[in-house]
Amino acid sequence: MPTTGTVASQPQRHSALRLAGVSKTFPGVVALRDVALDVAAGSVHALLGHNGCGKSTLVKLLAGVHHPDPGARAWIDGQELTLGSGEAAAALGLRFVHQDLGIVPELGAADNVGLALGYRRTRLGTIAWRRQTARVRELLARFGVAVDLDRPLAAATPVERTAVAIVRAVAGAEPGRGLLVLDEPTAAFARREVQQLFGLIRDVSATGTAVLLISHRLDEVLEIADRATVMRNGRIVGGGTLRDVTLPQLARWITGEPEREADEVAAAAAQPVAPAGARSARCALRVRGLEGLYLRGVDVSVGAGEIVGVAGLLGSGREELPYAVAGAAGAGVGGAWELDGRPVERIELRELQRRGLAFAPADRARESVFHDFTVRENATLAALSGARRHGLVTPPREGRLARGIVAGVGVGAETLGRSIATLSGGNQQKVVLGRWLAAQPGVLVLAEPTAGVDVGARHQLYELIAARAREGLGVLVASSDVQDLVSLCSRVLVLRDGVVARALEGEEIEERAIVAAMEGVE
Amino acid sequence: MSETTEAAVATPAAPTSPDARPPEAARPAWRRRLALLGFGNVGAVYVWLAIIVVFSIWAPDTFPTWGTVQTVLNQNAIPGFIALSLVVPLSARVFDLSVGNAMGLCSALVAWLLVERHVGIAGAIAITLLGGVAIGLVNATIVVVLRIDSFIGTLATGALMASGVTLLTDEQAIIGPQLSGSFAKIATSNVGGIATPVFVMFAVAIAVWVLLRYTVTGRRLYATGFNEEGAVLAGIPTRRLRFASLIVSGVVAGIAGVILTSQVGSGTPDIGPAYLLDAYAAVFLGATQLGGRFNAWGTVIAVLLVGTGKNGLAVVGAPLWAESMFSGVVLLAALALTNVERARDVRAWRSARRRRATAQ
Repeated sequence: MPTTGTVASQPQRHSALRLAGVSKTFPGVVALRDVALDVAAGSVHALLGHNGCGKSTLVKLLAGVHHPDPGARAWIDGQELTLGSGEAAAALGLRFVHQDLGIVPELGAADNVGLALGYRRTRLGTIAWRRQTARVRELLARFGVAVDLDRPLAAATPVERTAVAIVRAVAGAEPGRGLLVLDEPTAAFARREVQQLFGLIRDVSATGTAVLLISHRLDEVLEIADRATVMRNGRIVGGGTLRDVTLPQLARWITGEPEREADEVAAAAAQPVAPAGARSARCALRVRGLEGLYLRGVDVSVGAGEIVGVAGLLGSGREELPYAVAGAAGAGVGGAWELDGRPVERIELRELQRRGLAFAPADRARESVFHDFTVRENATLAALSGARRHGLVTPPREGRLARGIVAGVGVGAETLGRSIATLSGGNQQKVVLGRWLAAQPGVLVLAEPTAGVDVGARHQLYELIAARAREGLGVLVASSDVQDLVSLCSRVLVLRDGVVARALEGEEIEERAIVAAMEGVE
Repeated sequence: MSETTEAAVATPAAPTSPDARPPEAARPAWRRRLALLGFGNVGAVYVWLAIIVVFSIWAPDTFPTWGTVQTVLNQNAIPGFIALSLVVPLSARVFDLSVGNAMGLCSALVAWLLVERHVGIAGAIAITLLGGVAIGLVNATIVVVLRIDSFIGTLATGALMASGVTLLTDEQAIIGPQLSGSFAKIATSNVGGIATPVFVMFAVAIAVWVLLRYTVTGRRLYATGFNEEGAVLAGIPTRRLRFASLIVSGVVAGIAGVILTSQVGSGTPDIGPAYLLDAYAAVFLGATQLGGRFNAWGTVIAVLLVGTGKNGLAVVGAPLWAESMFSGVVLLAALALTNVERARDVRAWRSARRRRATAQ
């Protein structure tokens, strides 16, 4: 292990990244206040905090998207970095994988890697495709990823896309130096893929390159990170080594709430917010013999007031199921649908919506949020017809509708006129949830409801969903995050190879049982 | 646990976001209304006023007159139609590059029907408007049903329409007594010197404005344009909307064609395509106004702005090349100014200015 003698008292690796006096003021809001940070070379350092705590702003400062207020200083591997320049940061070895990945979805993996790292050329200057493909394949193989190199990434799964982006960033970094910043890399990952990623992160840090990991999943942080730094309201409020730190302790660092409440937050993770076994006789949704690309005859039924979870590894059909149930999976889906006890003939998204099914898809940025719309327009999209008077939508009526929607999901009404892009992931998700609840559905189908959502907002989402279930809403939740299922569901269907491998109920629903059933090790 | 949960959710004042910035609502209403008149929102109006002031000083006797107002409005009704016909498809991210040719074809068609086929005026107009619908149907079939990219698909159908014009006109202007008299009155009858087409254009502008601003369909058109995948998953019939938007542009091009023939007094070949680029320029300039999306009034303002400038140049006897240069410069300047202001994050800029003002 390389040690330097710069610190007299104890041998210590040099700092890969050091920040001092970093502040950032936006009009009306101080996003960062006098932030200091020290990330040791070769370590995995977690940056934690609620949405809006300043993590994203800090990452954007490092990436050169924002300029800091005067007085900020930063060093990478001991060399001073002028914050606010993306090129300078890259030259010193800072690498980023942002939440949106920054890939070109129209191109395949080979080109996405080639665009970032350069292409192998022939002597004539044209691309040497055989060598290029071989190189990309070799790089991806390190991550255990086998994707079709020429298939557009738009057609790949979120995991494959993330993998390509991460491999691309990592492969460009000089071993032993620099810093890799991973912003919520596992947000759309299943358990097994998280482990693959962790394997790679360990490889990277073993070469001496530091990893700054931003994540909302505390159990993962505990597993992979050496140290953590916690932010709240733009300040560093704590941190330290994660050795001997337990999950509830870590949660308490972040919430900063008194111990009793923090325990409740931690306990809430283990306790379902919905009363187990709250099944009513009325069936909100029933699909028999659901078939699709991955699904091979799955029966799903959701009673009124019941929250049913769907778990499964990638490729088990878990990703496909909510889309198939909602009539959004396209051709090749078969089965027999019943909504509120009545059969549905035409299995189309719009027909199912008309009959009282609401669907919030998995990829929030791509599939459900309209970045060019305001928060108001995003909130009212599904219920706008109800705000009509003589066929026209009047601003006061729409305003009332929108205020009601955001108040119901705990988002401030002062955000209504702003672009939804200014909201944090958690609040965007709340607006999306509000949009669909406003349509007064009988059954709500959710895919990855808490991807990219922090601990606090996640719990609020759970409570919102549970409260509506108590009023009789049937909910189907498909999630790669076992925590969602443990917290919400009174019944969990675990898919494996396109069929229900196991159905867990009530007390049986706990993390280990779900994971075991997913992996097929029972 | 469940009791506290219920209380937390039932309270309307559920925990609000950490995103909460200084509440917009706290700003006084007059200030919010004032912001609507800001440069970033209606910059083109200020440019327009500046143009009027400059030419009024330059040619104080000939420019600031009622006659100029009449001329600018009357001459820009047709460019206005063409530009407005693009607003609805563009809102749904559909480029209709055939509108110029569509108008040309409809113009030739109505002349041909009247002169060569001796069809009555009402019948000729009705058939021509149906022709507009048919043009829209062809475009929509190509773009929506066959899923050919609108940019290239409508370029191709535009070429087909150009050949249709040649077929009808044989490269000769269609002239005949049927085109003067009551048919010519459509474009020349006026109220206080403002010709009928101007009123029709404003009526179309109002219709487009209401559609996009105050109807569910309008909101869904924008949603389709902003994020089609999201719109589909939100249950919006995006294909139907894009289909209908092309019908709208076909019909408006049909109206424009009839009025054009009535105005010119002949069915002239090669007259349509010249309008296309100016129309796109106006729609995109208009889209920087009044909230930053494609909209009717921004488009009308843009058309009149450019029209006023061109008229002013003619009044002061500027050389011929000045006209195109003027359109280009105005467009670039307006787009650049709007972009600069946006990029600077309007609010950062204002608060910094306020701070400077208080410091001094």
